[in-house]
Amino acid sequence: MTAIHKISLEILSQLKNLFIAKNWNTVGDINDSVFNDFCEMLSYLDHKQQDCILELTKKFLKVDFVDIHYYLKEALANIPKQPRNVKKFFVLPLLTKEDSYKQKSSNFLAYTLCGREIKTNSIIGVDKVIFGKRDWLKCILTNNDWKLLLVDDFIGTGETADKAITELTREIGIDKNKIIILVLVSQEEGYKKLVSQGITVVYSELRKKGISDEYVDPIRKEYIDTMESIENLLKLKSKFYFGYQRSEALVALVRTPNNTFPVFWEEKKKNNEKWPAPFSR
Amino acid sequence: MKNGQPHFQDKNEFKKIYLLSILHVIHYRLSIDSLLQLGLEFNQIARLLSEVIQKGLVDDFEKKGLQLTTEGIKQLEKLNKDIYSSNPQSWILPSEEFRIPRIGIFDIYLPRKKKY
Repeated sequence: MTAIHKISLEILSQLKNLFIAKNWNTVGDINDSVFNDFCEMLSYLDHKQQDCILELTKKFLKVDFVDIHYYLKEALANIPKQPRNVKKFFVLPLLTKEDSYKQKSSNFLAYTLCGREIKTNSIIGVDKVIFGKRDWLKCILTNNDWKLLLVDDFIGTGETADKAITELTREIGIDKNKIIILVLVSQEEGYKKLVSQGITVVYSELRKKGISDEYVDPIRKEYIDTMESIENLLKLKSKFYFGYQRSEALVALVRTPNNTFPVFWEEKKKNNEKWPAPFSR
Repeated sequence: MKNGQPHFQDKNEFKKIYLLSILHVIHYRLSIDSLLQLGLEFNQIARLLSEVIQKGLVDDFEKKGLQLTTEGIKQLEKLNKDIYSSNPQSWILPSEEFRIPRIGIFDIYLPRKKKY
């Protein structure tokens, strides 16, 4: 059984101040359960591990349902001004074919863009925004007056986006320079991967790796060792160490991406007992 | 009453005991177990902490951490006298979960059967 170290009132106080600073402190709503789970999680950690988690939490980005509109607007404002010949945006959720029948956040975000926001956004300055199905894409290929806007909430490694775009280019024959990916939050790693392929990616928030990019040795090494010791307590597949493909993300959206350090979302300890993950998926 | 949960005479005492316990934990640098044993959740302890800081009973120093103010120490002594008049100087508070409700002098009290 995992040892219980308990948290001191000092640690609880630090966490409380952190929640207040991050504006996660709304009284009586779901954040109370997040706070309770957070404290319970810290109770399973020793002092060094607790300090590491509190430090990383300072950099944690939590995008709640109510924040989505703000982030979406920010990302929309980053769409580059289009050449005069571009008259239409064709909006689709950023999904692989395999995921196209699943309930994904990208479907919700694409739908959100149906509102007036995108149509009246002067920066985009296109005449028409079309929300359609993937099957319709072939019909619009005949003209050159459009761009394809693929929408999602998060890019981690860029693997899913890469796969989705490869499918579109191979099967439908869309040129990569006709595609714009719009996300609320992107890891720098995934962003660079896609941009290097000639794809335009716009975002509201770009995130670095939580430990490797944010700290220098010896602190970096210390945090990596500490995080390894924490992940040893959890039941994890190796591909999720430090987040999927070692993304080291510190992000929670409506659903927490598996790119985030699993200590924040994994719900099982090594012995199958419950791990009180504050941002469970 | 939930089994193992504390029982109190009235709402004021309920509040007082929380206040006393948190001041006690801060002053003697104890673990928060006693607060959890009172049935408080972590978020409630956080609110209680905010309350005592706001009332000027506790200072939250960046380096030294949480410390009672002079007013806080006075309040701790007062609450100790009010609630535990027979032993107000003690740094160990009686465990509330073992306190029994007040009964009349002719009432018969049978303790819960212990399992051996």
